[in-house]
Amino acid sequence: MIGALLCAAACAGAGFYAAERTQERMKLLSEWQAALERMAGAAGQELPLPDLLRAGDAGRGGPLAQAAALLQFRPTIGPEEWINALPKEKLLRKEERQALEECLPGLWAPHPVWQKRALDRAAGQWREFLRENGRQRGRPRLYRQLGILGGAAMFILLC
Amino acid sequence: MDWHLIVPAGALPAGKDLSRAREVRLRPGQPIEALLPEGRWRGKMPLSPQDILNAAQALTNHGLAARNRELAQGYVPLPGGGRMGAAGRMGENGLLEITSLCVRLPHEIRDAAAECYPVVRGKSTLIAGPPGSGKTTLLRDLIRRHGLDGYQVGVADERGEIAACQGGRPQLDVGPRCDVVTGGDKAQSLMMLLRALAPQVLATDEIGGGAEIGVLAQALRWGVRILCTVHGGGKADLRPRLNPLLGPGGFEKIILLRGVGEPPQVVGREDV
Repeated sequence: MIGALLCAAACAGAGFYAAERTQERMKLLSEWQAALERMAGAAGQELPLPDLLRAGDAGRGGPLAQAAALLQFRPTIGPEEWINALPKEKLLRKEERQALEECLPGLWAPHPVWQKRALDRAAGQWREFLRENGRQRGRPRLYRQLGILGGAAMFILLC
Repeated sequence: MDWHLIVPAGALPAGKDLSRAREVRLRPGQPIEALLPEGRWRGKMPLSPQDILNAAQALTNHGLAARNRELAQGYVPLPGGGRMGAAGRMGENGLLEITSLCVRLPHEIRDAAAECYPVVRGKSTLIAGPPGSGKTTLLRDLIRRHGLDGYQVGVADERGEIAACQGGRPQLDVGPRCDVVTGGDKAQSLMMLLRALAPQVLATDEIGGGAEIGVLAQALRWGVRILCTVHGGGKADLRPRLNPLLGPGGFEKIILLRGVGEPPQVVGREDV
């Protein structure tokens, strides 16, 4: 009976965990989209790169703020080294990470127009990612329900 | 400025000190080249275009895009004095790509004007010479010495190379009685100094434009002495460009410099 209860709880927990991760991922994607658009908007203001990154971060203390701090701490860092030194976000998929990694060296460009172009391109790609992800909007609820149903089924079967 | 932190490891041998360099040049496919007091020096490792872009970003504290407009107009003043010029692909609104960098660094030689100061003291003086001959170094020491002698000196430091003001303070010694207007249009800065700060001596670097020559001529009419530098080789070469300042009531002395050396090598002092 106790074993069955434990199995049921584990199954339900897995469903809730998956739902939580999916929700976090959706939130993260929206935040990156907003950050890229903020930076694309600020690129026309001819800001130094750390300020541009902070404009994208908007005081959240997220990865862009860390990137800005890294630039100020190590001003001679190059784009590749800089990207490698940034913390990897595990919730992002490979193609999403790749879109960011392709955009960031564009910020090194000597002209604000090129910076803006790189940011607009990344923001466009990101809109696609969000659209795809929007189709999975019902997933967290589905994962929760599957977890509960699976747990109940396990309990019944094991009893 | 620690060049070991600006160029990639290997481009500059460990222990090589470029802090006394007056000029550093970076070109793609070529090693770093520096003009040191003892002569030109070249590294061994060729630089990539990305190395040059990274160096430009490091020199401007990652504000290259923000300062592109300044760069396209000629140069970007660097913190602590000096200026960074660049070559590359020009677009409509600035440099789209950077292929070469030339960093000019001011340096002080306190006694650069020791020999010629007694002759030019209190006189309107023009310092002429080719690029790299030490015109600004000599001008700075003349400004300092005039200040020490009690003259109120106004300096229009358009490129930030004379006084290298930072945080409101000159980083290079321009003496105790010096008012500096940094950046901005040279003619406008000179007029501002003339009207607001009542200088007895007005100094500026690399004259040549019509507007500043007009202001300097006006300063001379008001009884202000002027100290200026100009690119050029001799009086005959200068006359077409600086005619209003070379006649009666204009410059009283011309100091001619030659070559690239340290300290500035005076080849002649002429009365005008």
